[in-house]
Amino acid sequence: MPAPSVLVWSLLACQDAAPARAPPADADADTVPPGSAFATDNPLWSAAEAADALATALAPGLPDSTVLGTTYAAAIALRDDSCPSTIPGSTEEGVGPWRADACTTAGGTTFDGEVSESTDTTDDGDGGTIFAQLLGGEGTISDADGVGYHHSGQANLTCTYAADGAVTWEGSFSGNFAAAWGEGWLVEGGLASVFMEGQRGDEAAIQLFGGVRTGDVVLHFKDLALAGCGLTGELRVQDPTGYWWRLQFEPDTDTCDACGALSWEGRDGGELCLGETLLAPLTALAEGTCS
Amino acid sequence: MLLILACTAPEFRPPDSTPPSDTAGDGPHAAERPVVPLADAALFRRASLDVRGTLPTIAELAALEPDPGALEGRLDALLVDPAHEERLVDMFAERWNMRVDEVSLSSQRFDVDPLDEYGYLRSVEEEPLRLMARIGRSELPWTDIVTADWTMADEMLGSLWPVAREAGDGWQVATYTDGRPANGVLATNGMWWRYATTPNNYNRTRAAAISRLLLCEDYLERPIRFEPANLLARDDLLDATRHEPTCVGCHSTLDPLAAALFGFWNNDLFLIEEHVTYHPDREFLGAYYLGVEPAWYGAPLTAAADLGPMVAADDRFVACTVETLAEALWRRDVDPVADFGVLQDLRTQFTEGELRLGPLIRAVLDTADYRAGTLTSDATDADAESVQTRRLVPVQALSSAVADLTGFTWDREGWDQLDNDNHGFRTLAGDVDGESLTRPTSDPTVSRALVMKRVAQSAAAAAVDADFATDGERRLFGEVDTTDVPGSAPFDAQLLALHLRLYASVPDADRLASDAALFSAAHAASGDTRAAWKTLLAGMLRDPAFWTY
Repeated sequence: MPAPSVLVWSLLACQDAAPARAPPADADADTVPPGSAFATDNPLWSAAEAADALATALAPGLPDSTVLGTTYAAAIALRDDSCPSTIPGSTEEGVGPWRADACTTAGGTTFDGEVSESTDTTDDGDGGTIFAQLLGGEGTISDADGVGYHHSGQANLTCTYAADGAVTWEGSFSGNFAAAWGEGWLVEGGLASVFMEGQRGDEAAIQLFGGVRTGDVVLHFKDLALAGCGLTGELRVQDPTGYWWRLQFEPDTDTCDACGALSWEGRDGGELCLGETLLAPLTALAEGTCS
Repeated sequence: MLLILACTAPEFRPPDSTPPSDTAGDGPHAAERPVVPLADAALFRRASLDVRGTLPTIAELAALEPDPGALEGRLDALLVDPAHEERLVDMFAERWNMRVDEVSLSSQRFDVDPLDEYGYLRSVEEEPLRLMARIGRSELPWTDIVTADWTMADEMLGSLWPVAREAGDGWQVATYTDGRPANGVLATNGMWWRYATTPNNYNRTRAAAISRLLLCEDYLERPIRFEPANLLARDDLLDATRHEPTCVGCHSTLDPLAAALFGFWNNDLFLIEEHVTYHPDREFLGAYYLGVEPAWYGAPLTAAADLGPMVAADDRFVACTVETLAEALWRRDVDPVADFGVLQDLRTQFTEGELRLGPLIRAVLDTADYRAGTLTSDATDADAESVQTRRLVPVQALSSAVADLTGFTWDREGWDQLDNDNHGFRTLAGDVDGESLTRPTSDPTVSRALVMKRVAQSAAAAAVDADFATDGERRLFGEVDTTDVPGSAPFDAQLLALHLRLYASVPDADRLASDAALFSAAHAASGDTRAAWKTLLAGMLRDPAFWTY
């Protein structure tokens, strides 16, 4: 007697499944890359509008790890014994992880979310010290006037204070950050996914890789580096259609005017000199971080 | 018996159940198939289920009979039926494996009512499906599915995601407000919550999904030979993807595509904002994490916004769409050799139809493979292997057909029991779950029969209870009242009507007699004609003639 499924199958007079499809051809070998298919043939913005957008986005400065750390410290200091709940294992420095479902302190500060924070200071083994701070999670701290601090994501900062007085640092942002209780870029805040490293002192320098969205304007720093007043790398700004204007820098320490070659999708957009519009926030970040 | 039929159903002359005698269908390359095409009524039933997810009405079947050319017009009409859009959603859900029972963020993270978890899942997962279905139904160019600057959102998504949604109930056109590029389904949260990545997978899973779903090229089907290597460290892994020949074959194209998706990459699996919000600030991070610049199979992508247009311009996208629709409607995998000519013809028609989905579906309905009824007597075993004749009705089409027919939907605590596996019986019925089962069952199974048993019993009870309780228009039982029994003209008319509605066919005398006997036995046992109709209707719904086509 056939198995039930065989019997049913026979009754229905259906066909067995077709043979499995043969493995597809190797796309690399057989495919001619398609031609350009840009959604738009012409830039939405003129070069001047791209320059305006750059200026607008740079005006509040750049994400600053030190400012973020001090702003968070001031905000978390508004906690009380019952709000928010801190999680056992908090580090000696800083408050450590906390979790709250919109609790409000006696002083009227509301905590909501789950945030981990750690700060640590160690010897660098050569007579200096290393300070490291990590912020992670998603949390909001607010009062009756509104949100004072918010972040969703991670931010790291490592400051190395060498025995000879040199200060070098590395920092990163990855997420959404805003703090009305802060200063500079953080007041309006926005999305930031950027790696930074730099050094303070007479030879202050900074290098950035990644993007920042301030308001509606998105910037990308492709290995943008400032040493003295010489710039290398590329600064990009995205228009509302999603395409990018690119400002390519070649070192020019004679004029210190932050001039670069502007282009859109390979088309020459002329020279654009941002001057202090770009130099000022970069210099402030280079000199202010780990201060 | 013919006299009875003529007397009891004067408004309807049974459609010719004799299939055309030649072996050629109406479509391209029909003569190459050793099949006898379905008769008009059976073909219309198949197409009705496939295109709009409901069975033909008796009036529609009757309209086929007087005019031999009526079928083609009726098939055209199916494509403008309002239910077609919903059916497209189901069709692409099956093909794209979208309806899984878990997405990146659980409903609890949004404080969604636990009783609405099913609704939450389907809202998230159906976003790209609804976009595709709307484009398909609206006769927009199919390339819009990867270039549209709009999406679809229901009330749930409107409350959770950064979208501006047009007013109205249910699914409405919407636009994201977070600056994401105009890449159609490739810029929807629903797509990427279904095809999630991990922080260390760097979108490679998503890139593979794009290749599989839009180009019909599955990286996982490529044969590879792996040598043991230490791939635990990120740098070692990156080095292998760039230099190890076994890896380079795939990663040379996969990784640049993955790099184009970093606006959707999240470096934390648990943060809501990471998943909900697009990150234009991350569009170039692939260069850092993957060590490659974004590209589409060798062509550089200067912006994430380039991805959709590049997909749309790729000839493989058109070919894959044709292949996808052919497989969905033929209910079998295509054979790149045996089906080459038919697929070429379909592709030509799709292109000449300005890449609109309707003409493509209509062209597939014309193919001999779609219209295959039975094999010819001289068909070989090889022919039997390559042609799908009778098929299982797709589970979601079956579900909607039962609902339309009887008013019954199998709902338990908010979960559609034929559309989930957390609480229901979807895969047991033969559908995909999107993860462990990615192709529908093509053979009848015991589990499908068991599911159909429960569906049939409940649906029959619901239909009988509702019809016999109303003074208004009845769904199924319009010919009888509670006093009619076998031997009466109303009973015979009702039985004929049920056969037409459920099977689109006229029963022979033996079948009518056996149905009457079943009714009589149930009536004798219960003393209630309503209970007898429930028994008979349940039996008819369990009949494979109902859930196959």
